[in-house]
Amino acid sequence: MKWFKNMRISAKLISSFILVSLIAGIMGTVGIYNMWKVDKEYKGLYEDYGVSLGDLGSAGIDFNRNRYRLANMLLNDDQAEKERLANEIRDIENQISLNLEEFGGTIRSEENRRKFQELQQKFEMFKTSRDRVMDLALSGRNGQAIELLNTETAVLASAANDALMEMFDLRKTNGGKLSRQLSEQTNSSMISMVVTVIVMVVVSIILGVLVSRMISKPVNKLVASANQIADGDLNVIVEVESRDEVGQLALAFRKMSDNLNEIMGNIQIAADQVASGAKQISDLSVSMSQGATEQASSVEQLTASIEEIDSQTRQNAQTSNEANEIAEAAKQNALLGNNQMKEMLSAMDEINDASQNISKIIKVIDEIAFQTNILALNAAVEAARAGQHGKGFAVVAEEVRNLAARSANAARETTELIEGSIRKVEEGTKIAQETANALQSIVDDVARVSELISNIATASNEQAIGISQINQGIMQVSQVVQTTSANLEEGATTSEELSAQANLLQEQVNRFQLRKTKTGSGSSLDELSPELMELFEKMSRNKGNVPPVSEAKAAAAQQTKIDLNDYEFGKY
Amino acid sequence: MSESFREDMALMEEDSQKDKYLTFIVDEECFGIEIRYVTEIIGMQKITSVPEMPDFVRGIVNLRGKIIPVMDVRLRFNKPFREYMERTCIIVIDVHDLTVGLIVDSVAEVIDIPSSDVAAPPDLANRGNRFVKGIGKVGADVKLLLDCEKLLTDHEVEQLLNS
Repeated sequence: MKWFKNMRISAKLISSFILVSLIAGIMGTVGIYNMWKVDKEYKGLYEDYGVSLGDLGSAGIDFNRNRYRLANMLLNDDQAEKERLANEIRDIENQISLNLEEFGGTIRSEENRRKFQELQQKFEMFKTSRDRVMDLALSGRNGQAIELLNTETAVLASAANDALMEMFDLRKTNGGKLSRQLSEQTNSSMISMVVTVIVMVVVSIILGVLVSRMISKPVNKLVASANQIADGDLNVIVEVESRDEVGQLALAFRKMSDNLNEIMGNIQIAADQVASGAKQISDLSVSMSQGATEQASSVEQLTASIEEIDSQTRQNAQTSNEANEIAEAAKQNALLGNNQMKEMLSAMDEINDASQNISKIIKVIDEIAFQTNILALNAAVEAARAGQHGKGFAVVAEEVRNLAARSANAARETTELIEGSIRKVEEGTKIAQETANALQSIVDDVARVSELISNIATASNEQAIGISQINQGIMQVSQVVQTTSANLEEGATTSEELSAQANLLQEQVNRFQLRKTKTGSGSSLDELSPELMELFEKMSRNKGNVPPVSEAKAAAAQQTKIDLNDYEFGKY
Repeated sequence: MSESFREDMALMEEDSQKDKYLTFIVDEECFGIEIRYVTEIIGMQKITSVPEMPDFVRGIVNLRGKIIPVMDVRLRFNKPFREYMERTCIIVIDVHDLTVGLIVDSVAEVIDIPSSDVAAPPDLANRGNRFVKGIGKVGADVKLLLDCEKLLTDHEVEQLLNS
């Protein structure tokens, strides 16, 4: 029966119906056959007996009619009439012959055949006699005819009649016998048919019951399992007994219950996660809102500082502008001083030139003095050489030397003075140069300062712009902080809602009892959640490498016990 | 100046050319030579260099038609050479009928140095030619008194004699 059980339901149903219809067909066929047989029998009966009896009867009637006509012929004197009657007799005779032939065709048994032949003989004998009679009648010898008729023909006629009647009776009894036989047969066949019907009905019922039970029992089991699942008990064991649609449904149910288990487990885990996450969010919101408050106060402080900076910057800009003007004035003055210095330098140069000229002249004088000295020395030498005679000369030479010395001194002093003057002029020039340099550097510095100040002014302006932008930014930040505060409040509310929802989810999930082999309930997952979080992160990274189901189950200390029973057999 | 003049006068009244020295400066040192050797003092003139002469003999000058060889005292004393300037003078001396010009940095004066103020030169272990005859003290200064004869060595005399 296993192969039948594993047939598809439609196949089962179809085969059952086919079987039933076959049975019905068989029954019908049997009935039809019986009917046909009965029909044949009855037709046979009818033909062999009914019709033949009728033929016989007709023959008998015609025979008697012929006898009547014969008698009529004999009674009649009209030739025409007689001929007419003779014709009629002959016609009727033909008719009788036909009927008898017909009847003869239905004879089946030897005895009846013999009897029939006797009958036909008798009829022939009668006919011969009658013909003689007819001839006599026709030829007008009615009297002979009547005599013949009354003697031979009558005897023959009655013999024929008797034979006919015998035949008739025979046939009748046979017919009756046959009819009774047929009735018995029909009865028996009816009985057998009734029995067959009953049997077939019973078989069909049994078959129907079997098949329907085959179908409905597992379905009911599945319904029971489904109801169990609907009620929240996911710890169902679905038996798979066949491989037909119901069996596949059972497989699907089993798969569904496994998946539901898994999913519910995951949902439970996730619900716990969500709950803890919502709590975290709530904490976070609180701390963030604190932070936002601090932010707001910081922003206030910032705003105050920025305003101070702003005013200072403005002042800076103003001051730098003033400084710029002053620097400009100083520059102008320095340039003026520079120009004056240049003029002074040129004057000093002229002094220098004059001094140089004087110096040259003094040099000439010095030269003269020197030469004079030499002259004097020469004179002294000559005087010394001259000895006594040269004393006066020596005196003169000495005086000249003195003069020369004085000139030389004067020239020297003058030279010294001039040199001093030149030195002083040089110093003055140097100083003037230095001053000019200083002024130039002042001018440069002033120019630089001016530039710097203008830079400062520009920078101050930019600073002012920047500060106003900062101000704007801070206002924006302040707005943002406010918005953040509002959002955080919303977030806190939302997280509270989320918490509530998570709790709801947990409640909903707890309506389901998961498969009993799972050790550890949802509460322990709170302690394991960091590891679980890690695990889920790992899972999301190794997407297809490790079957997540088994890993998740292992991580949450969930060990699916593999039941080694027949139900699980086909699963692995 | 007038004092030294009077001294000179006094001295000159006393005697002739003795103890009268012409002082000149060479390399910031004051030297003196006796006036009797001194012919003339002239300023710097064009020196025509003569080949095959010692270093310190710079060449010859033409003094009013007279050809005088000139000698650089600096180089003679192995002092570093100095370019000739305006104040550089040539003292024409007459030694043993040889007229030689001494190129000196500058001429100071004619001074009277009594023998009492002349000291002997330090013993130089026979180095050099013993140019310095003595050391004359004038006030706080010290003047190195030169021996003109020793100023010219023998082979020079020969050369000059030959030229």
